Amino acid sequence: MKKVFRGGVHPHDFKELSKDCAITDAPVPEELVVPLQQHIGAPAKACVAVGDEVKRGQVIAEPGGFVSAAIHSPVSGKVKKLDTTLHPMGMTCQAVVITNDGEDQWAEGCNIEPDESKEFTSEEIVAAVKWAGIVGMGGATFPTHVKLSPPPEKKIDTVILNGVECEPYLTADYRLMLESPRTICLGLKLLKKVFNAENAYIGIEANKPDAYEVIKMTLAEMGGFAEAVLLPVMYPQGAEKQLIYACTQREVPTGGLPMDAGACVQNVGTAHAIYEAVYCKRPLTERITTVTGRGVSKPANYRVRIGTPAKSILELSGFDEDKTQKLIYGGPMMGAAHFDIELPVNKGMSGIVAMTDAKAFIHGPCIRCGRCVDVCPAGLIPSEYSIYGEKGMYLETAGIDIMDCIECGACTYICPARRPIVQWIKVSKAELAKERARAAAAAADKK
Amino acid sequence: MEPKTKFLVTTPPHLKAEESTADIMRWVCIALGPAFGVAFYAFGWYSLFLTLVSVVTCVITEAICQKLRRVNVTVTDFSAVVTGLLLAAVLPPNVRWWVPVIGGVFAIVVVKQLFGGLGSNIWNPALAARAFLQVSMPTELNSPFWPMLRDKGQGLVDRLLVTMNGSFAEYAKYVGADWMKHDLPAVTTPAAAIIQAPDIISQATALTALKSASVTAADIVKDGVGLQQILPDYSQRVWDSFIGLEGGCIAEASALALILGGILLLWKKIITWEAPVFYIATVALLTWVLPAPVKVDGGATVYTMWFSGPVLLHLFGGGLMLAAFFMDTDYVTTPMSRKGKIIFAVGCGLITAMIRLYSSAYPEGCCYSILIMNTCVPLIDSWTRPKKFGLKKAKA
Repeated sequence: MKKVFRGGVHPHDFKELSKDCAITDAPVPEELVVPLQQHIGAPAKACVAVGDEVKRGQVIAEPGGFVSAAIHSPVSGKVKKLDTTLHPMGMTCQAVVITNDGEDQWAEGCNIEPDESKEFTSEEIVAAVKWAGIVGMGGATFPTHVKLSPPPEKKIDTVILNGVECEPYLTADYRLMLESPRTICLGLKLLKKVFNAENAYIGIEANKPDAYEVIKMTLAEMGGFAEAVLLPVMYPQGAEKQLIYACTQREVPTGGLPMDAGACVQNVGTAHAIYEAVYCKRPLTERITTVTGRGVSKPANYRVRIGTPAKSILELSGFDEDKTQKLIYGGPMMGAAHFDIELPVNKGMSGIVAMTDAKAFIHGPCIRCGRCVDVCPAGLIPSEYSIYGEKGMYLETAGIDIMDCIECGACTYICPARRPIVQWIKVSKAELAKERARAAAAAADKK
Repeated sequence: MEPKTKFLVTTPPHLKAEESTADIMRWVCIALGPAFGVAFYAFGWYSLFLTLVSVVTCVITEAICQKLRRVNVTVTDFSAVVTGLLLAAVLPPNVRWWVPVIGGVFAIVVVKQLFGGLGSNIWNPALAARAFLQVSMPTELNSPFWPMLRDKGQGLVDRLLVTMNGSFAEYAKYVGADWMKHDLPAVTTPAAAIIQAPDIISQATALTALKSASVTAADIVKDGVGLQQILPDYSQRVWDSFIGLEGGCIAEASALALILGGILLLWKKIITWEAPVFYIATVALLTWVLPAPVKVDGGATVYTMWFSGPVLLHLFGGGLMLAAFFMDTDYVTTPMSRKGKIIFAVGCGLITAMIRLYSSAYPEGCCYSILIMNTCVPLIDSWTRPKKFGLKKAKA
């Protein structure tokens, strides 16, 4: 197998902890806290009031704009209050707190028997995805219907499903591929239909050979409308641009989006959610989340309702709070560390990792070893951003392609001086955005 | 909101590669081990003393500088130790003790800390200090006669006894004060007798001999002069240089030991192969192909034949292997990209060969070639920026 993209790192993946744990249903708690910011874009707007009776699948928050997603009640019950909750990224956001009545009744028209022989038009599929509030389930949480509605001049001829799961520790996508290959493949078929695409691929990393075999077999049974691609184990293989390159040898042009390379990438979990939305009329109210790390005694992959406090599934897995030194929501490469154990599970929470050997580092000076340059999948010189960032010279990074950085963190993983390179890059990008806004405001004032 | 737990909150990624800056520096120290081992064996323990002086000077100076600069004292990252070792490596084994002190202070204060400390220096501190010493005290450093203990038919155990048991004072007196007179001190103690017994030799190093060679008019054949006329014991000296019986600077004695250290660094992926390979190859090619000037009876100049240079002596003699594996692979003062490293190494090789073949005085060229190329690094870096992802045009 040849190396298919430039750079990359290969940390130990720790997937052995939870890879053999079949997906189990996590018990639904008495009270669920459903955040209204579970996606990139405008927060959803609550459309229920305190005291309202809600059914599972009922819309409780409308999208706050085009780039936004609807949010549905994960259980049947009563709206207890509208509150704020903590977000894994560190800020707070609005949330609807729902008391579970234990009946688990679906709202009218939801949860129908799937008829897999039925054909859908492109518009029907996109409408169903939008209705179901589906977002990128790999963790990026970009609203899926937006990705499925490219401007008409962009011709998308390739749909790629991301079954790479290159983040260490996480096994949610892996288990889903093993246990539910049929729904994933049908979801891919729907996606292919949306764009009338000629090519479809499912990319899977070589450390999941059994998932690759299962998917390959399922695709063959379905008439071979798509190709399963076995990819080398290398982080960030699951990054959109790198995955497109691996499957099609096309480079997304710098500054462009996947659609500029004629491709659309979706996570396998998203494909599964699309299947459920289109065939079963089930909106997105649950997801697969891996609970793992040495801080839990029974690592597991749970099918868990959105809004379930992390604490309840952590405790189910034998969470040892004293042993745990760091709690990560998401994967260890791009996920967020948080002090709180009661954050509600959201649409993008692919895993919760309880690490017992976390260290805080004091960074040293850049010794120009060039390792970050070697591993950068975007072909940048990350150390330059760190040197500017350290001095607070954020705006100077504009001239050295900082916007091409995909923030995968490979540079920061490999850096022997322990420099928080990717953090400085994120700060620089935010400062540049502020500067652009200031410049735009100044230009508007002049007029 | 008050944190309710004791969990550590840091920015991602939450996994880190094992190797730290200090680990890298430690591996460089370990890789220098064989070369210094041979040096202590060949030159006796005065060279060990000089090495310790150099390392201690560098570490203390670095700590004082960082205190004065009000930054964290980071001597535990071993970078000052590496500077100290590399400085000792390029000093003759018989300089007086204050030479490494002056060199170490210059390397750390002027070359390293004044430019901002580790990571910000433009020149290799050890080599810049060596160049500084060379111009400030040429007699101390440039004498072609460097004594060494040479084993003539004695076993390893006897040799070790000589270097271990020999009176330090006697040996230091000989190498530290009286060596330039070329007459041996009177034998007064048994230890001194042992030291002198295995034949302390004072002879020109191979490269100096090459440089100062002189031929007679009779030696000149049609195309120039041959190697046999210039250096009759060529193959013996190549072998001596390779295993460590030739005189030279402290850690330059044995090419073999340096190559072993270099292989360790390559194996541990501390360095990449480009710089050493291209440096050595460039020097080998040029010294083999090009004719070198030789004096005829100390007067007129004649040239050696094309394609017949003493390549092996140039490769194993002097500091070439040390430069190839430890100096032109230094992270801070060489280009970051692999392409840049190749340009850098070829440039070093070119300058080294030119100095060795055509300079009037210097038999060595490694030090200056690397310092000159260090200066070009920002330029090379700007030429060799990696190609960023997303510039390839889609196939139509």
